[in-house]
Amino acid sequence: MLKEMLQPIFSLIPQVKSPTYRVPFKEKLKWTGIILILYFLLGQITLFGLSTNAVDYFGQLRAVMAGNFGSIITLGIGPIVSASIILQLLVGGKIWRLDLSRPEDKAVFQGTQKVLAIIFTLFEAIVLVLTGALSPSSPELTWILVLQITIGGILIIFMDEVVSKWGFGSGVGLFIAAGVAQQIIVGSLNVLSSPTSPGVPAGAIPHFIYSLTSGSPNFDLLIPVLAVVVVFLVVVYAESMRVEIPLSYGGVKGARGKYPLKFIYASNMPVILTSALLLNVQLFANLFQKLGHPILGTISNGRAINGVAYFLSTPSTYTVIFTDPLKVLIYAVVFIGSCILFAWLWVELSGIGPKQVSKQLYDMGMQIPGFRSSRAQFEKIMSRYIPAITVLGGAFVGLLAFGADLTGALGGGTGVLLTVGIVYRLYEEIAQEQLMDMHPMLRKFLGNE
Amino acid sequence: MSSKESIANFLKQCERVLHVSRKPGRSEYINVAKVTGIGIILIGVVGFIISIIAQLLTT
Repeated sequence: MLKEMLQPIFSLIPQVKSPTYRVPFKEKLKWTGIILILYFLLGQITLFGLSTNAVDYFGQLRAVMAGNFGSIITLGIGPIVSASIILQLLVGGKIWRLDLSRPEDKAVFQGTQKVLAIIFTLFEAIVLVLTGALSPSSPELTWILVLQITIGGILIIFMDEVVSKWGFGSGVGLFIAAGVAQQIIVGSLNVLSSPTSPGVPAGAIPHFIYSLTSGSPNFDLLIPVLAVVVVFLVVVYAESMRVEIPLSYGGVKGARGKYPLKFIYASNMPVILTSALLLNVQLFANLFQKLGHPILGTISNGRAINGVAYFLSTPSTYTVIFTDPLKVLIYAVVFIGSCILFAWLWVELSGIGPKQVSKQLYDMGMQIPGFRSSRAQFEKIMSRYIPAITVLGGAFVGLLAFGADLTGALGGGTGVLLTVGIVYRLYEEIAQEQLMDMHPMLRKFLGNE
Repeated sequence: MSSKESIANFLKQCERVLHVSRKPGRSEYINVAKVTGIGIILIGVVGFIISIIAQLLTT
């Protein structure tokens, strides 16, 4: 049995201790804050021995993967999400049969994800260094560079675990939000100048003011900042859209109830997974080119110029629509299609499918008047709505992310989209926790003891 | 069920979903925008301060 074979491997890998008690609000806040600051500090540690002319091959996707190019955490959450994709396809596709509602199977799932994430970290580090995306300043530093990137990647894996067990939300979400929020604020407010143009402030707003004082106002500088605001306002709207499922059934009088579900039902997870998938396409295109068989397309100067890799690289400005509409169309279809697929897998695996939701409603003591077996009835209603919401929500969030990228917003359109969702969910969790800390009775009632 | 029927059935389901979907109210929208906006700025400012300090230290 595969499960038994994996057990000794899991026991070799250190684990973050699980809390044996309900972690109080303040403690959760403390851990989340510590990891957040640690993440920012790691982002400032530059790789030793990195050639100064290294170009970022995955600039557009980097923000979504919470990596900071040229730092020890260049990989960000890429390896964790890549590992998660493989497992979701295996388990969601019923190739590997695991029942995630059982704790021991869930432990196997999480253990395997961690092992895979470590393997991906090493693999991505080697590929990036050997293909020249992160070239060393001298050949003897090659493996020192790989080692540093791997250490950074493994640190991220453990920091993610700390947040998941002791903090709010997940580390993956926190790091994405942190990276994007930092890019937005630094990109718009930085008063220091970049090394390439000394004397000129690097941030968009100070740069604009500088251009005003020099007599030639350059309004183009403000476009990325405005794009952030526009994407933000649209995504907030989409995030707060609800679907209210009527719980009455079969025309029973007085049996009126509504159960609200988010329209973006699988949250923004499909976008994160799709972005990681696209990043892997670029990574493998690089690898195959280096091996002398550019079957996924040719990459030159860090940009895919033809083949599959070209069609699946993110269009980062709207001008591409005019220069190469076919590419934009193919990209959009693949991106949205993949979002639908991952939305469906995510709903299956994270316990928010029709069956589980009906069980939850039933366990909460909800009844449909006039029906003796409410649970079966709930299931009937939910299975009429949830599959459709999953697909529509997945397609919608994919379309939004695709559109947002075309605006060229600071932090990337997709990055802003994800960050809004992550921060909102973080707020919901914090608000709920705080409520429960204040009212122990409520906690008992909700069965969260 | 044939695949044609099941697609038609699914489209009917989608139509039903769109029928019961609800737009956010004005106050809800403003509340979500405020909360997420403040959250993003808060996290971003922490990152901003750390990156400015790092830039000043290295130059």
